[in-house]
Amino acid sequence: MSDADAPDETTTWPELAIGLYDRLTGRNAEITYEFEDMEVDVPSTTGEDPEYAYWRVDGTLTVKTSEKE
Amino acid sequence: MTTISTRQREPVTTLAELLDELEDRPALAVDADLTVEIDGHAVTVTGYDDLVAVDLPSLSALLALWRDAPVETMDAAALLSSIGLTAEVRVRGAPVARVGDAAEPSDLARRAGLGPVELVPDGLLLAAVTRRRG
Repeated sequence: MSDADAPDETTTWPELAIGLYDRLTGRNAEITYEFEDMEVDVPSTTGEDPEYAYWRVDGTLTVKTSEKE
Repeated sequence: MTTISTRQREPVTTLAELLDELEDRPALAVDADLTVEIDGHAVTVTGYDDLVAVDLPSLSALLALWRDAPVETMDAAALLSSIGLTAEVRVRGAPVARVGDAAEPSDLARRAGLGPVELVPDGLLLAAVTRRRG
């Protein structure tokens, strides 16, 4: 595969959101995330010297496209 | 790390560019049954298609999480509205605010340019009163 054909790697949250959206809407897909006591330190900002909030997530999240207008 | 193809499009780096990209796309639906602990505050997140209920244990927890949120409320409201979702913020089950698509901002909030953010005074009052009694 040439460089021109290679997909770009997602580097920002907006890019990740758009990519997720394209996957959902392009295939009528449904994405389910199952978290089992996932621990993550969430930065307050993408700038320098952020503070971090401690998050622990447990449960299920399903995202799909809506049939509503 | 997730790798997603983004060919044939300029990179999206700002909220405004993201909102432009999402324009005219179909809405999203969310089913969620989550327990989230944020800096010691226990939050439950329940999704019902286009409504995501975020239930907090107290007003003080709400204020602390709002103050330290990694995303500005107005930005989150605009993003939620663009994908057809509404977040209903609750304190011990009582709605205190709606953010996003189905929010109905007051005239004051609209004039202040707060975007799709709706405060629920009855819920705020109930949360404050029950906190004092509790």
